[in-house]
Amino acid sequence: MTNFQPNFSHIYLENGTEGYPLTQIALSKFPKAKVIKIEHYKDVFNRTGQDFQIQKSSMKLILAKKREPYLYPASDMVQEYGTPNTFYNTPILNCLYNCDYCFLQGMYPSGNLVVFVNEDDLFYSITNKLKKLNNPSEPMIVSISYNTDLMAMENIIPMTSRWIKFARKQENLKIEIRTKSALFSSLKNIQPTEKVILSWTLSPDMICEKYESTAPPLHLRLKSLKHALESGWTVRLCFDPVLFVNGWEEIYGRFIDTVFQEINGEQLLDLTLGVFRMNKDYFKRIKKREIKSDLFYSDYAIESNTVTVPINQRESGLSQLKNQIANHVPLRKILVWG
Amino acid sequence: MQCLLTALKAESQPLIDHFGLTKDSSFLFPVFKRDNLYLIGIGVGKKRIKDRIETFCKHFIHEKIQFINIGIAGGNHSSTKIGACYLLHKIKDETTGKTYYPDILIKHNFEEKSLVTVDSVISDGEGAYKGLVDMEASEIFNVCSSLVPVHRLAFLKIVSDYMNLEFEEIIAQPISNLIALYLDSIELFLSQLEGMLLEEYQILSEDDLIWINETVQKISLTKTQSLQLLQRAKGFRLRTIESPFPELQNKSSLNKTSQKIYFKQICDQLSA
Repeated sequence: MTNFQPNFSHIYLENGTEGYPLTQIALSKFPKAKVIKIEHYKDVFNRTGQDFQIQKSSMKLILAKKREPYLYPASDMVQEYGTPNTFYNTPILNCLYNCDYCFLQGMYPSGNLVVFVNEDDLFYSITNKLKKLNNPSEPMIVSISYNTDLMAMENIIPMTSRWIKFARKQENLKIEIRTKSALFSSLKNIQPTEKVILSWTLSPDMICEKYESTAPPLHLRLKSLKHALESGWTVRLCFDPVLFVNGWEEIYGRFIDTVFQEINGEQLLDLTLGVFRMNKDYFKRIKKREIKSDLFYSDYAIESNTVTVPINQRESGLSQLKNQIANHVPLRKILVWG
Repeated sequence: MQCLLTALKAESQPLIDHFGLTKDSSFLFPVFKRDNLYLIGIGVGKKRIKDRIETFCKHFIHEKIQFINIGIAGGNHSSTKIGACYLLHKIKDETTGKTYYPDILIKHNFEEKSLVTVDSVISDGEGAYKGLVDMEASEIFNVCSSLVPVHRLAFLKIVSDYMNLEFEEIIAQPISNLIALYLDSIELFLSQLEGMLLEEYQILSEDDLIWINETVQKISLTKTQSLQLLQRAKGFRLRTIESPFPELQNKSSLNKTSQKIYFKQICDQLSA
């Protein structure tokens, strides 16, 4: 066994970030970390020759200042991309977890995390955009946890609570915080608001163990989202990606029963079903690095530059699951991707 | 394999003695070895580093190599101690202005520092540089990072002076003794670092690759089919760590159609 350094044993500090409150919070959380001054976060994060997977064994923290753009139009990977006024932003690059199917390992050259400490600039970009919406009669939706799991970081850097505080004060804004975290307890003292959608991605135990081994197990995620629902938060469920492993019908059948024994499906905002899909270039890049997950050696189709499950398999599989979920969640609330 | 890189003979000798390395005469420059541990004498300064390391690597194209630079450095008198050994986490090349960041992933017992690589000996630089100063590290990083991933590079520097000595005065010091003090720590560090190579294992074993080659030969697979077989084989190995690959039937002189059918059967077996 290799004796790896603990995560965040080293903190890279970009010039000009010292004075930000988030910098001070991060530094105070890791008083023993070696702090290394850098000119620009890309000098470390974008180095050539990094090994994403081995760096995940000892992730480093890079504290940096986000430059424009602060807000991006939603890509087709973000839910509600079809509705107007939908955006995403990147308060953090990369994730504390390392799920086998995650696109981040193909998107970024590094397994390290970048936290952008100038949160006010990101907030301001939203308040500014709220004044200039193309379709002001519809709410502005911002996915703030698109390239990371923000809630998973809450005990390290409490950005989720700060974003909730910001969103609460805005008119016509909803933020979506997608997570696999079991850290809802860190938000338990915050009053719920309809301006925030907490979205939990859940998978059957077997999938959690094999493909999401660094994320909390199903029962802890369930406990967290149940707590959120009971506290009055708007909760979305994501069974995404559904993985058609051997015996998936039984595995997912039992999983759906388990989930809806714990929660009342009618209380959910909605539920998303989707299959494994990834930008073709990311997929190729990941495979080139000799990824040790069998997911990348299955039969996929390529549709509009996206590697995904062949249409027949995904349509019949998802439809089967949708029917089963419909016993617990109103049909109009079940959204299927693909 | 691991490859130590040293500039001076006084730096290499204690390492050669400690690890029982012997000269490898197949190179035209100083190379010493024992099993999977090598040492290359790269000379003082940047000028021979690229040529020697690239020549060395041409002999070991399929090997995973870790490069470890071990040597002396000048140190700032207020932040370093003569005789102390430091692991580098930041290396700046004074001439090009480029900065390099070694990945420090494994636990170690050294203090960490940053270093500036200069082109000539600093004999009047007392206090002018905050950390350490040497004449090779940036070029080693620059050359080696084009050959191996950055986490396979490490730099250990032992302070020999406070940048107040001429080159002749520096090498007149008992440098070997400075290195000798850290031989056990260096050995432990190398062993920890070597462990990381195991994390980089290939999906397919030597035996697996032999099976693939035999299959390609026996049923005359095309290049595309061979690549498909390789992908299927990797998936099979990841799903079934210890199961043997399907046994090949004796199929002599298959026509194109039956070859395709047989190939599909093998692929199906590998996907099951």
